[in-house]
Amino acid sequence: MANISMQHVVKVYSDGFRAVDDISLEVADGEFVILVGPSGCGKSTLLRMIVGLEDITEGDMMIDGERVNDVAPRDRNLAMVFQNYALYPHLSVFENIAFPLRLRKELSDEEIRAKVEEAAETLELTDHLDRKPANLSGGQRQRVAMGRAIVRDARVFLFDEPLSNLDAKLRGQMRTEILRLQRKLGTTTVYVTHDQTEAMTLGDRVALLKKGRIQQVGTPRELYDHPDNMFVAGFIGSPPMNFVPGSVRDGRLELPFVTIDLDDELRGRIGDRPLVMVGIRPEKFDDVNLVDPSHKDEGVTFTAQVDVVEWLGNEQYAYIPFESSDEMVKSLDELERELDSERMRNQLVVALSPESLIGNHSEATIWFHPEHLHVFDPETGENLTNSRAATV
Amino acid sequence: MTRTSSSTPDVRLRVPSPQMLALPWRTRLSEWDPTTVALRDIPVGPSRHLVRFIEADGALWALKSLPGRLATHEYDMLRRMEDLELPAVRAAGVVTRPDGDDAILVTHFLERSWQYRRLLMRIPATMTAHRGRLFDAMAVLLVDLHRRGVYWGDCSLANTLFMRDGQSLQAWLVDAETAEHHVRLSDGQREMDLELMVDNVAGGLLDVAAHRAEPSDTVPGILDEARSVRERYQCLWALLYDEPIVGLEDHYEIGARLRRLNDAGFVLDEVHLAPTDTDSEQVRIQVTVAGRSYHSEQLRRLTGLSVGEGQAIILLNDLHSFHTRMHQESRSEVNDAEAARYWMNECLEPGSRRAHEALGGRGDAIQAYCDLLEVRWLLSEEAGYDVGDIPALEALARRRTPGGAAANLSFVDLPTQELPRIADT
Repeated sequence: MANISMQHVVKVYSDGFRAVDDISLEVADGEFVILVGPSGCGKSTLLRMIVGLEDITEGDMMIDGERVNDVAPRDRNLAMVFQNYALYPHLSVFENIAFPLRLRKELSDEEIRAKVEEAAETLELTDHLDRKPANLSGGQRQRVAMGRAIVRDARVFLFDEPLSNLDAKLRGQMRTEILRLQRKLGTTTVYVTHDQTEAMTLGDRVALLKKGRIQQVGTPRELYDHPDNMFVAGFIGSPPMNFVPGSVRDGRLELPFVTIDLDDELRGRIGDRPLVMVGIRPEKFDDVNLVDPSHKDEGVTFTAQVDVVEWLGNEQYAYIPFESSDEMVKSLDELERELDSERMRNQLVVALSPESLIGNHSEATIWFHPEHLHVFDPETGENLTNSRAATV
Repeated sequence: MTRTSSSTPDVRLRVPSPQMLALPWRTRLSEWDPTTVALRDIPVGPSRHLVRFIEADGALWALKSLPGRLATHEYDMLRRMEDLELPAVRAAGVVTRPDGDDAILVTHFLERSWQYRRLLMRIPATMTAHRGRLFDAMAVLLVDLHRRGVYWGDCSLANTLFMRDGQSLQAWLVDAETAEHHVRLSDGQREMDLELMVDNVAGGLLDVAAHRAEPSDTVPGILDEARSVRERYQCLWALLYDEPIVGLEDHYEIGARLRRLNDAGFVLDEVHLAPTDTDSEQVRIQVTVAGRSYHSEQLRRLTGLSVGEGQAIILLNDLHSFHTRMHQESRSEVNDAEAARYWMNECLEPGSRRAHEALGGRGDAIQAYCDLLEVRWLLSEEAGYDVGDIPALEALARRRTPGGAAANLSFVDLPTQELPRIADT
């Protein structure tokens, strides 16, 4: 058990590249924190600084109140889970877990036996301890690998994209295993992934990084519902949030497909800006025919030409093209690059329930509630509709 | 948006010979048909990924199936290691698919090499001298990687191939999936790599011991052996990077250190005798080394032969003795180049042929000659005089070489013959 306190941590490489650019982050004892972001954002570097694989250029890395910047990796008492998961075919599951403990010479045979049996119970491997790895399922074998980390009584578990090389089925299984294990043991955990779905399903809190800096830290729900800026809004959520340009004229917000009235609060937040970027998640739209009549009037409807509808069984996606000005295109291109994606094309993605009968190349009437709009400053990307962001 | 997936693979080959180009790159490696593709039956250790061997255009190749991202990373890393002249298998190509899975990495098959099990399955835990050569080889490999800024990340016996090199073994890195190249490795990185190596060596040794049903009282000794890899690494690292302080005039001390480096095979690039802070005549010795090819380069300069560092040590000794004898017998100066020419004609060529025959064609002729020289030297030591080649050749042929001789490991080398096609078995 331990808490980690990263205070103004910086990593600069010899060529001057700032991989981690002044990050401060607290991980509470027993918390499961995810570091997520596009490739090159510094998440792996930060993890490696916690482990001791990267030297820290500036700042303090504190574990349980002790400054560990100059402490060797093996003396920090952390475990990189899955780092070394070779299973030896002629050794029993018991020995596969136990032998690294034997190497360290500090424990007696009885103590080793006790630790291995305890870990096996946590991992539901007790009945398999005398078997050979070949007789285990894929998931069981992964658990043996976790066993090696658990028996070391490490105060923090670290994961560096552990599921990226597994097939989809095993990946889903392992995600559940890892979560279950962390809940059972309550060990402080820091987990790195580039997959935002994984981040959202696993973490108590998620830290989204971009270019060596933290963009936002919060619970998955906070990041999803209240993104601080366009980058966070565009990164979190799949399919990603739609971004459309909006012009502000005479107290109204003109979007490419509809114009809506601005209430006082929103007008105040937008201020003098003539142009804004508006975000709305695909699932916040509905086929007007399927909207409950009792609150239909609370929302806004518009009619548009649907290009293509993609039917996926449990949901459908309608693609609605729209036009935008050159400068908006430029700012969307920039965001696209930062998010490492090609998603910002001039089309609205609308998630429809499977009952909707909207078809390809048809005109459709779509409904949404304005409270689900996010309004962003087109220069800074700041979310003007986020109450926290507005008070800063 | 749905994507139409094309099955056209992206093929990059460094040796685009006719049969290589004609391989079924569209098909997943697991589905290659032994009746139409020249697959070879070569044992491979447990691997996370499917590995197959093929013959194409007169050479053998190893093909590994793995996710596309990993394949391209490994391909790039192996090429980087080739540029750094590190002992790693040589990348020959990489084939990726649009869906990202089942990419194929192609590497040159490492001739004359074998896996650790081949050695350890045949020698019991008690033969510590032979086993020690294995651990030396692992430690030396890790030092070589680290001093060139390469972090391995998965150091293990299973990810290594071994080759006899004179009296020692040369280890070759086989799996670079987790490898990274940095300008310089931090102490933390070196340490993690070393810890992984010790852990994995222990696991590999214990696994073989379990397979051989060795009694459990061998376990403590095995764990000590694994731990010894750390000491061997640290000794060698200290030799390279410690900066001892000596007197500027202390030529003996300085020379001794440089000689130790040469003995360990290192070519010296620069010796820096840096003044210390104090007023005294003390200096700090800082040595930069180039490759670990001190002896092999000398031999190449003299003879044009390209051999391993361990082999070069033995051959150079033989060449120098020969040169001395020539000088004594002819009573005139014979220069290095001439002596080398005579030596090759009169000693190396006939000697290596005879030794290779005596060993039943196992391994290669140069190594056989090194074995001959070693055995002859050991027998002569026992006898108190130079016994000559004949008894040594007999000892090799009858497999009755003196205990502890590296030549005893000749059984590990494979006979040079065709490896069976999978479709024939």
